[in-house]
Amino acid sequence: MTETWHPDTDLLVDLALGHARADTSDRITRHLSECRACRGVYDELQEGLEAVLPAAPETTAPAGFESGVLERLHPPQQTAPAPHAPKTRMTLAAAAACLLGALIGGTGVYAYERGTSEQTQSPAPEAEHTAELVTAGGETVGWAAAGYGAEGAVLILTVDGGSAGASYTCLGVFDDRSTEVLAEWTIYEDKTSIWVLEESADSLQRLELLDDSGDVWAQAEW
Amino acid sequence: MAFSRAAAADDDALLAAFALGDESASAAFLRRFQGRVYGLALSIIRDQAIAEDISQEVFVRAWRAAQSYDPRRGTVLTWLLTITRNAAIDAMRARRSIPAEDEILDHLLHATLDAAPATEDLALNRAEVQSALRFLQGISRPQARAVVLATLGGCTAAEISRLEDIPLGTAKTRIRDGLRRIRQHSEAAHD
Repeated sequence: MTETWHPDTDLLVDLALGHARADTSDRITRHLSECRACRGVYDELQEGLEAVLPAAPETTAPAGFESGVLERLHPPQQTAPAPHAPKTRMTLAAAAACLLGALIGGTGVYAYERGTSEQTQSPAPEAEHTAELVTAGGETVGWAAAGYGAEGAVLILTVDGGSAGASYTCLGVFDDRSTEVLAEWTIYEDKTSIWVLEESADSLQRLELLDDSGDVWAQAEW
Repeated sequence: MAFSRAAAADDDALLAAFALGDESASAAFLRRFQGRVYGLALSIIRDQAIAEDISQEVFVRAWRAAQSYDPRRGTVLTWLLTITRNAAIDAMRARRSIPAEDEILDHLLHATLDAAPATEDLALNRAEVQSALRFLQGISRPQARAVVLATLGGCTAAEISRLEDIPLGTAKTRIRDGLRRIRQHSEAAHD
């Protein structure tokens, strides 16, 4: 059935400006979906409104505005430090590795880089559960430490000394001398990278980062 | 001064990078538009803290809706300001009253009807800002005041009637006819 009621132009103006009452707004909106004539009038008013909007005066946003929005858009996936011996086997999650490289394995890895925003901070694990990441030449290039993330116990690995473009295989060496490739990472920028691995119950003795040729570039040992 | 590639990108490209979640693009997108988003939110809600909240929410909404942006329907700035206006009007409805803040409205009227386009807009060649100012300054002064108060000030026809000391019917007519005239100017400019 064709509707005989048509909203007057003032109602269409109210709707375009967002000042129409909710019940009126619903009725007009339904009508506009069916009535081309009224739709045309409404579209004219809406186009007039949109043409004016860029004239709004620019005003300096309050201090901290930008960082506040960036924090909402790119929340740091931070893990809280907690005392926990890291001598357990890591399990891996899929996904979330676009910045840091391809991950392999199973169940839950967080990865982010320190220094990409002012909000991101390095986790601060307790020293007794921290192992330095040391190269074969004796240079300290980061550390590994236990902590807790949203999903439970995690191992946090920071790397300061890698260069952009370098890829590393993260190899876990366990108490029973078995080994397992836990992740593969590529460093895309010359800044500290932070990788987080979920833990399982198996004991971990050492973490090794192997370079492209398979040599141990650095390791952390407990 | 060095500019990043994100800072130099055009609005459409910057929005595309913003939509993909690139953090440097997000920062560049914010720097480019935050002043205009916050300015419109403030002119409507007239409360700095609420305007800041609204503006933050606008960028989050824009990020979520960025994939649906259609450049054929308008510029990124207009799209973003439409989101801003809707968010500010929603917030205004939720408040019991909006402070009159004649100073803000006077500034709004002066900035849109008396001032020349800002230097930075000329530098950026932001054509839509200059066009909008030209449209407003191309209609009668009473109509332009009513349109500015209704669109950028978030005022209802009844509020404009009181502010301008004119009958309600006159306020409605000025808004309606002003918007139609501006639309005609806009259409002519695109032909």
